[in-house]
Amino acid sequence: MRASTALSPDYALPRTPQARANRILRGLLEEALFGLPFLDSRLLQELLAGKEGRRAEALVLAGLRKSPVLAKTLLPLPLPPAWREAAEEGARGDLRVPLFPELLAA
Amino acid sequence: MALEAARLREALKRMVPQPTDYVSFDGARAWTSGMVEVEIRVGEERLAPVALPRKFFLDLLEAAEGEVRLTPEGQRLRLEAGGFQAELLTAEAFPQPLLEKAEDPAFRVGEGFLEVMESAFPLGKKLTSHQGKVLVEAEEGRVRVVATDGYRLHLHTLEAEVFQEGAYLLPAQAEGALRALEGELTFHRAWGGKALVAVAENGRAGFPLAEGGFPSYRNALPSAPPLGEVEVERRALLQALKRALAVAHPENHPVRLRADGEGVRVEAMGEGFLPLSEELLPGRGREEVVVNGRYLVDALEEVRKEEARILLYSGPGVPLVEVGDEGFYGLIAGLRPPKDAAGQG
Repeated sequence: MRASTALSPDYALPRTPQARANRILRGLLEEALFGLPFLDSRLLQELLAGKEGRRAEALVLAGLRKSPVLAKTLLPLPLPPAWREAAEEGARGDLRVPLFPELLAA
Repeated sequence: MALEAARLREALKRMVPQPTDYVSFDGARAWTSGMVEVEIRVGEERLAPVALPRKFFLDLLEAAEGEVRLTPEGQRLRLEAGGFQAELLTAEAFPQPLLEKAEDPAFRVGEGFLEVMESAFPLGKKLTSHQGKVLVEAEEGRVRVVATDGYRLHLHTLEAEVFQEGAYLLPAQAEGALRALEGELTFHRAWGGKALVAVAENGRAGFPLAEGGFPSYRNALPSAPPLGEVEVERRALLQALKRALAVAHPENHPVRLRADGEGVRVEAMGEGFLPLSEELLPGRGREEVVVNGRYLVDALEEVRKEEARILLYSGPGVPLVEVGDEGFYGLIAGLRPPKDAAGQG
């Protein structure tokens, strides 16, 4: 059986909103940590398409608000305005105090 | 010519894969070139240098035991091991623009340096905007390795023979290059001070120095007397912290250390800093602090002393937690209490 990756012809988008949201967050982390392009990708557009995509986006926003560490990690990315607002809100919940704030500026 | 298969195999595994994953080989040395250059000694007899696909070469050697015979035949390299024979297509060997340009030695350190870098680089890499840089300062008789992820600072001090004092910003890519080497290292400047070449018993590694700056870490070091302290047996504290981390809130892993007349209490904190567990250890001290338990464990694992002495200082809104011994200094900012924590902070 061939491996199913985002580039292979038999790749199928995650079906449920939660699975799509997980895939979106993983893609954002990969871009933030390793520089792998995701925000401008066709894959992201497809993950956000349709009713399942809109629900997935709502879950992504909830995830950003809920996790300060995730939010702070993703803030340096060129996020869409609503996502940035959710990440900023989430980051405010970060209880860590930086020793070197200049390193953490977006 | 004949080589020990195990020695050659080990060298190929230590190579830092470059985008093309080819390794150059001349019978006595194997080397890679690219962002970093790594060269490892594998034998004594030299051949005309060639480049080979590293993964295929390694796969052919995986089952070989004892000696392997290598014979160049035009644009191929014949490999014979036991009853097995294979040929690999070769290409022109890569130059070593960095390793060949090593200048005078800057400093020499023992094998403890490589152990220190194994914890310093991962700490620096936790902060992507910082690009995983690690600062190495060479001054009379010692070398200091400085790493930070923005929230904590680790300083390792090692004895060294210093020929030229200076500060060197190592990029994240240097981690893989240095991991290929063993034993005592002598660092040489290269490219007019813009790169370093490390020479070890088993080979050499070269890498350009990182650009940009490093935080003025000395400004973060406490200068006022401590507010409090906690003294407890290090191993017992580590074990208690690990138990607390199993239940502490997964965001920031808050753990409170509190020294009172009875001993040292280690409390796992949940959401809103509600205490979830408490463990009392023999110890002494005064004051308390809530700190990221994982950060404290990482720092305590670098300390060698049996007794852990944790000092608390006034910091930017929260106490600063200092842990260390002669060779290691760790500084961690405490956690600020959540706004809605009832009765806390």
